[in-house]
Amino acid sequence: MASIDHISAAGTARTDKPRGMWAQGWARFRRNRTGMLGLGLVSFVVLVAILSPLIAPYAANDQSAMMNFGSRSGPSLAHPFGTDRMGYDVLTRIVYGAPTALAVGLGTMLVASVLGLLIGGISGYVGGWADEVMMRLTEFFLVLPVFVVILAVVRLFGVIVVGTPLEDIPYLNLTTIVLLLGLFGWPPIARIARAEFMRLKSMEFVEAARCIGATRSDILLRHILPNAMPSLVVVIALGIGSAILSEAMVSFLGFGDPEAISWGQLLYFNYAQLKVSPWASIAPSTAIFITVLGFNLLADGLSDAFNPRVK
Amino acid sequence: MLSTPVSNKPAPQSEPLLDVRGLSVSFGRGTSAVPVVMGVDLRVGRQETLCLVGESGSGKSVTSLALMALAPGGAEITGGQVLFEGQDLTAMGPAALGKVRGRRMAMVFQNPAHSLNPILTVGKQLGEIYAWHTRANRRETRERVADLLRQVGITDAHGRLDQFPHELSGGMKQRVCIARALLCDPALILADEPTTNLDVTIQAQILDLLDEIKETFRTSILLVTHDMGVVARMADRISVMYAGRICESGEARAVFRDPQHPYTRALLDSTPRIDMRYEPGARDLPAIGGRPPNPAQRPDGCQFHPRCAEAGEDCRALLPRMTASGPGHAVSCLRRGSRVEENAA
Amino acid sequence: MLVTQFIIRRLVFSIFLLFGVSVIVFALVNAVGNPIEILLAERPGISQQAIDQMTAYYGLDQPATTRYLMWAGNLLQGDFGTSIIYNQPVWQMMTSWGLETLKIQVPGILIALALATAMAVTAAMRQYSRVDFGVMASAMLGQSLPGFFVGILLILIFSYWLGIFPSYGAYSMRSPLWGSHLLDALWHMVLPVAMLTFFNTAALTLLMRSNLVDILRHDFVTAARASGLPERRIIYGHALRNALIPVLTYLSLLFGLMLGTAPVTETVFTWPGVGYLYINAIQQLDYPVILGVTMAIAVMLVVVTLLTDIAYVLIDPRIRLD
Repeated sequence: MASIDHISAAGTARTDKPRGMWAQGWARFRRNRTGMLGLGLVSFVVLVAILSPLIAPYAANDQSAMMNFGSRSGPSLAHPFGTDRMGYDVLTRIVYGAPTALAVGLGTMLVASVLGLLIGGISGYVGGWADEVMMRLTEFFLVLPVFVVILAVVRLFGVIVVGTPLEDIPYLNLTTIVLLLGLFGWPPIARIARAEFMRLKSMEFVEAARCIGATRSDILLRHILPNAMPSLVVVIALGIGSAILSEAMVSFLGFGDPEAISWGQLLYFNYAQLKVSPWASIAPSTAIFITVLGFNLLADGLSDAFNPRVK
Repeated sequence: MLSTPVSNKPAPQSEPLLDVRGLSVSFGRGTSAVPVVMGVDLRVGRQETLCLVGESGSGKSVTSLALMALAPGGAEITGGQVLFEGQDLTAMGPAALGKVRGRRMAMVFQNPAHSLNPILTVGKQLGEIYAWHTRANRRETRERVADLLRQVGITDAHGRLDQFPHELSGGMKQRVCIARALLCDPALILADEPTTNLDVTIQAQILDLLDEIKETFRTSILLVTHDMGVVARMADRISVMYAGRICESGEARAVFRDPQHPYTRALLDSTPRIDMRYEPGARDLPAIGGRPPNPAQRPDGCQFHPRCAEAGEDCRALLPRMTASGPGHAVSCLRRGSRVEENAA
Repeated sequence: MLVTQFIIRRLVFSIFLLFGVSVIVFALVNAVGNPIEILLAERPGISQQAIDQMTAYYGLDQPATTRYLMWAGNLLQGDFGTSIIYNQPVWQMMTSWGLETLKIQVPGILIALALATAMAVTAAMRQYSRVDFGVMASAMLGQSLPGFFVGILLILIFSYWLGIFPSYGAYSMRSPLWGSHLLDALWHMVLPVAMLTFFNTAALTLLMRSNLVDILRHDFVTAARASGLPERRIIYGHALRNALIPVLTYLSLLFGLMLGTAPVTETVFTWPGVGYLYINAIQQLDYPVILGVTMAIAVMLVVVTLLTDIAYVLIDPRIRLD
């Protein structure tokens, strides 16, 4: 009996192999409690963002509480998270802040990924002189006091565009923040991409592809990139969280986009009144915390799922 | 009354230096616990070399660590006794163990590059151990360490004290590790594959060194290895381990002359040897087919039966136990008339 | 390569780095146009002649390259210029405000390092136990808690509800607490330092725990155990030493992060530090201050990175300098 079990176990082990690395990764991920918790939190935020117009109890710019109850009223049935100093319903603003946060996170990582992949990929695949230059560049960006520079640029750019056609672009300020966060956020991605491209370019299946005459772009896009993805996805998930946090901090300091509804802005408008209406500061902080935590846990679970040896 | 490799009986009445009874080690706990070492018996007499032989994954390294009441991450000693100089190490507290480890019983590891702390100088890491055990002062410690380095064949011993491990060659590092083991004049040295990671010429030197210190320091050696060549050269007695159990043990000469267990025979057959002529007609070294069982999914009965040419129906169901097959020689194989383990589930 | 040669190479790279940063920052600030004009545009009472006069006074009528060379030249001589808003030397402002920043940041890192060491050792020694899981989970949670959120909670609890610590400032406005300026200053430091400590401890604990767990698996640790050394000595004398090497690199990153987020920390606690100064300078387009603070932060980061690189080489004998 046992010997038959043994053989059949070996059999299933064999059928395990052809399963793709994503399927295998998912199978491991599903058993990872922290990872699943992260996925749950992220899904929750995404769901709130998608359904924001349906969930929000009030219209996004409804300041009517200013007249009816007065602003800064504590949590009640009508306003579960209270109202803020401008007469907005806090819950509504939180719900409408979710799409902004996700847009910031994804937008930033889109810019950062393109830059990081390009720079890290070239660095790792070409190597030599190009590698040296790219890595020095990466080091340069790592030493730069990024956050401080972003603050200055956002403010200065806001002054520069006055009177130019750029001024009419909707959410210009937010776009600037996203572009800047992306522009400064690529070094971690470049580092991983470099290491992965370096490792993969000398693997046998890439050699094989080269032998059968695959073009360079074919090798890069169809053979190397997909295999580098698992490691990249982890950094990207972490990056989304930190981008959301950075935007919140920029907005909290008063350099956010007045047109956009963001958690950081909410905090900026209400922080001075922390003693009087703590809920208006705690609610957006909690929203940021949950979102960032979700992405961090997700990244942790992903890294465990794709690199099971590491832990 | 030194026991020499020639003598057949090493003073049977005297209590052995190390007497291991029914040692078991498992990875994990509770229902998911995976046993890797099961009911192992070992004996090492004074100034004797016992070779513990087996394939990688047979549990021999885990066994050697367990003899020091050490368990690699996640492992736990689940049963048995390790009687060393009359004391059971498995029942000792950390303080008492600290007086045995490194002092009475010391260890040499497989990979000398990994078993030295890379950021401490040779003098510092060896000196720390000696000073800890003997409360010697700085000067005495340095002298002692340099003295031992000299004894294990390291030139310019004083100069080496201030070098870092990465500045030494592989063979030199292993000599340092052997010196570390000898610091406090131990009665027993556990050497876990001490030559596996070294060049062939260096291997011979290290084996010579081990033989030499056995005489000069009057220590016993428990040598863990998979290399039958090393066994033939070093062993007074042999214990063969397969899938976490001992399957044959005895005097080196007896085991080599008349191997009992099919696994031992296969091991010997698959090893190129100078001391034996190959069978006429057999051109290549025969290899052992198949692989040792996965510890999490062990077969019933004799662990070796899936790979054994002689296995019968009884081997698939019944677990044999160690049974004497001759003077100073025991085997666990139903085909050799071993008794059946009664409480085998 | 020799250690000195390595240090010289790093130094040269650092100088290029600072040059790059200075060009970028200068170009950015100057793209805004004449700050005098922008600042005074909203004040109708000021004549064009006055604007021209001030522009000439600050040298803003010169071409950009000339101005950069002047600015960089002055910078090299330690002259950071004069604040447009406060009419004070920027260097003087930075040192007095910067001191307040270091007053909370340095204890924040040092206390965190001690706490993280203790927690990481506790967790790593009982790997996969409940204690380990607890430490890991709280560190993970702590790492995701935004610093300002921790600050807000600290202020709400300890300042508004319990009324123990002051919620803002570095000193009492009127008479100092208990009549002692020292105690007054320390008392004000408690909450900001607590927030920074909390933030740093989480990240450091995670890093050190994973380093320690990794190192405890090494053969040399088993070898130390097999040599009869007591566990405490193995952990503190062998494992921790090795585990601290990567932490060193991280500390320089952390230092950068703290300088970078000083504006947030200091806004939360209305702390008169260099971050607070910076935010105000940006809002008011006080460009000598913006330039000065950015450059000062860049210099500090470069110096810290350089020092860690050197310390790394000195501590870890294995490092090959290539």
